[in-house]
Amino acid sequence: MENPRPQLSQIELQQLRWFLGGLIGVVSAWTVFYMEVDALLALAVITPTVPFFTLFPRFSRALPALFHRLAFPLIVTVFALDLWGNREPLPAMIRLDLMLLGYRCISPRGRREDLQLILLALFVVVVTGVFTVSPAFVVQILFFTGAALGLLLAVTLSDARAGGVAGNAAGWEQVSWPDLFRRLRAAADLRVVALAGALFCGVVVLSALLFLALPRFEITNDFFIDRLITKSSRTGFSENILFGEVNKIAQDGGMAFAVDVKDPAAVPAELYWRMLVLDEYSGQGFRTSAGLRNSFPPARDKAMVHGGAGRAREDRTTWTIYYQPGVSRYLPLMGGFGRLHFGEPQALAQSPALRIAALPSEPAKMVGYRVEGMDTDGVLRDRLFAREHILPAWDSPRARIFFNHEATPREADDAEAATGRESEGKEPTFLELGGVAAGDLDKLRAWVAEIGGPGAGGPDFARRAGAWLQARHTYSLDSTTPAGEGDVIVRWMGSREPGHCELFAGSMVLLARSAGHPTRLVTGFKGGVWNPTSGSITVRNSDAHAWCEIWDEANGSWVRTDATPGGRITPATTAGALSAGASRMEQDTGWSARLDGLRVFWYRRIVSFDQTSQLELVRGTKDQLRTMLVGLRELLETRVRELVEWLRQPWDFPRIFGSAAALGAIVGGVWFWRSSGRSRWMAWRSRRAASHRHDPVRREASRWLARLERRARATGAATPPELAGTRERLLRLRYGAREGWAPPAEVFAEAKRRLRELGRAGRTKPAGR
Amino acid sequence: MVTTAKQSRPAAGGAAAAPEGWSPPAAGCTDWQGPWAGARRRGRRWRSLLWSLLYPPRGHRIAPTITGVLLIAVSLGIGTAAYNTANNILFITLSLLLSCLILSGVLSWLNLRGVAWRLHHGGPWRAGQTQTVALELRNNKGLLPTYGLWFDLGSPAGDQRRHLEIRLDPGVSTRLEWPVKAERRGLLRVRLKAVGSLFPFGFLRKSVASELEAEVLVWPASVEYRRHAEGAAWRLVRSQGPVNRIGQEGDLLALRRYAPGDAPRTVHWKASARLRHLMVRQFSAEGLEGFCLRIDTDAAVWPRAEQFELALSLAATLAEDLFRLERLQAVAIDDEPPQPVRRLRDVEHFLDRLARLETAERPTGGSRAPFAASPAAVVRRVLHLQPQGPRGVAALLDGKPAASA
Repeated sequence: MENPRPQLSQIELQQLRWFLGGLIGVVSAWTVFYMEVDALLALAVITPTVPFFTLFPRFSRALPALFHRLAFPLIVTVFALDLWGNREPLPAMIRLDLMLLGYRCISPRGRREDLQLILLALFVVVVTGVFTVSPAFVVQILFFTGAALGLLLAVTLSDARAGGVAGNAAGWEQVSWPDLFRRLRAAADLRVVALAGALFCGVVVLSALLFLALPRFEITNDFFIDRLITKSSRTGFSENILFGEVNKIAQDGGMAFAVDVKDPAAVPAELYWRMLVLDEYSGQGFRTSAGLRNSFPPARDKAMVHGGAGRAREDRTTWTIYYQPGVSRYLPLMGGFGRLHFGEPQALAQSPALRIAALPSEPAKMVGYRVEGMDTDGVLRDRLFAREHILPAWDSPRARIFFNHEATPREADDAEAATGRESEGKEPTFLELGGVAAGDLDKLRAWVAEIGGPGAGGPDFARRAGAWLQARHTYSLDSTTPAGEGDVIVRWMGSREPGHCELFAGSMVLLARSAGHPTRLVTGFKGGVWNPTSGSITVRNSDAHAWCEIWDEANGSWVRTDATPGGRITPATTAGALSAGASRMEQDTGWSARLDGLRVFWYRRIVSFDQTSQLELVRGTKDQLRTMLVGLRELLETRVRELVEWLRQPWDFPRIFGSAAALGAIVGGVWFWRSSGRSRWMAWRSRRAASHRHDPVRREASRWLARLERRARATGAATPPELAGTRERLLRLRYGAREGWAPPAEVFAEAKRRLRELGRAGRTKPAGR
Repeated sequence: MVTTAKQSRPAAGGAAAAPEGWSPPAAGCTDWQGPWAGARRRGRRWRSLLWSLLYPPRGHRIAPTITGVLLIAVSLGIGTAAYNTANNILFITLSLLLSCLILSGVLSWLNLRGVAWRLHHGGPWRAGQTQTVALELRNNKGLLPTYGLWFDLGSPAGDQRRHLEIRLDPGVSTRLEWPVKAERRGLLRVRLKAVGSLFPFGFLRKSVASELEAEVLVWPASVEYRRHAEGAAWRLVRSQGPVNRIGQEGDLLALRRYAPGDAPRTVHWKASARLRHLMVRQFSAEGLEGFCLRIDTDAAVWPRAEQFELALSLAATLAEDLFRLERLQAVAIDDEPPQPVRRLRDVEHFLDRLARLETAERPTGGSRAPFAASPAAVVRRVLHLQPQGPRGVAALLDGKPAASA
């Protein structure tokens, strides 16, 4: 019997291999776009070349032999020069991989070369996934898996078609793609294709289960790969900011980080994510002074959990932050924290006095961390500054002792005196106006007087100064500063031009310092929107913001001051404002919000999946099963109780009659089913059966034949002559034409009877001996 | 020629069962065999399936290919990196790789499932000639085709592998053929040693041991021989062709169909008209001019084994030639009574015996019954095979050589 559908020839299979190889090559190369690796040249070559050679394979044969001889040495030389010139191993390796991938895609391939191509593509896809930790990795790896399995299948079939000999059939380069796909369509059975799709879905499900079930234990936990690539932070969140740089970040609508809140009701009305504190005014912007830098200790050893200056309180909400790469090495925090957990061991530098924390370098991939005991009220207490109005250098014994909470400030003073070290010249400059000319200082003093003088304290002055600024300027991202001599901020303050956050914050710093209030500039993010899809807060780069913190002598703390129009100048202190709840936040809906939600789900459930999550999953499954079992048991108990109660009720005639009727109906139904209903049902299905294989009568006959045979073999009883007749009738039902059938129900009943007789014969046989 | 097909035990890993469209084994072919071929026992199917996946049945082997080793090495590398870095991207990749390996095993199992095969060895087989052994393959699955199987056939000439180069759709059967040369007479065992596949991705080489075996009886080889005129054995044939005199004496035995060379006078016209083909009268003297072919297996007569083999070949060739000329009346081995040869089956039976014949030691000094005293006294002319020289063999007629090889 011939195959009903055409078959692909070896040449066609070879062409399919070529197509799939090219597809894998191009798509895997394009994943490098997601990485911040400079491989544009390689991609620019691969993107047009590989599709061209894939579509016109005859040109790959036209490549001269010299090209193939020189290709590998040339590629290795380029790699060596790249490594030597850039001194970045991973980008160089990725570029090497792309070159090899490109070469493999355009040169004729056998089985071995196809395997090399798959490995090269796998390397690119996995490294990209590891670096970007992007949800797009799932799409990439699934596509790669499907295409690679298809390619391997085509290789196997092609080799089998050639009688198990690996090699290319002659003439495969002459290809007509429409004809090939028509042949492929004709050769494919849609049911088999659907089954293959289902199997692939099964692979995905199995992978998910394996991912959840793979035991998680840590060996050394050294994320080696992020050391192989270096990245630069956005200048808006570096230690030296020029006016307008934060504003530039705000032009970008991409997600900066997402925040999972354990208790959404505890989300404050005003969200200010602090990242950097800058104190020194340069005339063109703000920067971190040497004194302030000294207060920032080097990164500590790697650890999963880092303690902070804040007090960990059990009832505080935990905040899980999924921090995107490419923002900054400084972590967004709302204030001091009790503990900070990373998903993997991580070195962390933190200044307990400034309440900021930073990674050693900007992360190359998403970093997830959980913060416990985070202060969200915008008031940062500073005992040391309260005492001295000055921060000591970080490396002084006093600071070390104080920040480690090992002693009181007095004890710290004593310790510093004992060592004889001085901290002069290394102090932060919270009051200096170094970059302001004398004429501008006069203007500043005049404006301070216009505002009402220094007032009762920092916050009081800030409120008045903020109101004064907002009265003179409106908010705009497109701000202009009047041309002229003198300080930029002073010129802007003197005008009525609209301004952006940096101008408002800078003005506030200058005014407050002129009034004698220590003030500092803070950059970070303000606000965020609630994503109902993921149940998390999304903070975008467009939320980048600058504000300042002014010293409140009365409370010995730094108070957040935001003079930019649209918000409160000083933080609200009411309970309602401190825990307004996420439901009062602006809701982010739409496709971008859904994509963000997907990304958060990816971070929350996949990227952050660890041993704890695994245990939680097991525990959750166990609890759910237990709940279901308990529910089932309760349901059964309830039903039994109801039945017992029903039975205990007085039995009058209607009840007896009704119960008897119901019982009779059940018994009658069973009897009817067993006597004729089942056989009628079977006969009806038998008439509609598409083939013998699916005919229920034939299948039933087959089962009875097997039972009879087994029983006869087991009992060892001599086969009675009447059994031969039964067997014959069953065989006729099994194999014969429908017209020659005895009534199936009768034959099956007879077979049942014979089976019992055989059983009895088997039991009585030993007794007769 | 007789061929026997035997199946020493059910196929490893699954009962040999008749597939859909089952037909009983014909002469020259074995019974169906195959893993899970047509086996359908609802109750035990899933249990046995799961068990067989965990613990493959005897004879089932799964070994990684170079691709598979590479995949395992990559999986190990990624696994090590995943545990070293606690990176979930690597764990996802590892899970996918392991799933692909499992998928490969499942598809490989599905590919072999429901496939049944049997050997056709045909006939007749003769030593020194190349014959064809065919494997009939049938896909009994309901939906899935079967791809890329290979079959290893073992024979004394060596192992040979054939690939299923086409796609075998459900319900479709095909044949794979092997040329096998029988080097010597006797029993030849042809065995399907293993069935294997690299399907689907070439990661795993799955093979199923098979004990499907066919025993084929190989007749002695045909030899060129020389006819001697002085022996007068061939005179009638050569000089007079199909004689028109022979057999026209004696009593009328029966009527038979006309054969070329029969004398026209023997035609029985009435019977020919009634039966609408020519019938001739057969007389009792017709067989008297035939021969009886006799071979002696006494080891003393045949001290050299190759000479004995040559004698058997000559006997087989003479038997066929004489039968073709309708001059073979009987055959005899040693002192046994001559066995009359009336039809082709008798010649084949004689050749079967020749295929198994070995020299035997005879007690010396014993009296041997004279051959002529046998019941088949109707045979007047006996072709007796005797050694001729150190290597040759001669067929003697009345003590004179009639043929030699």
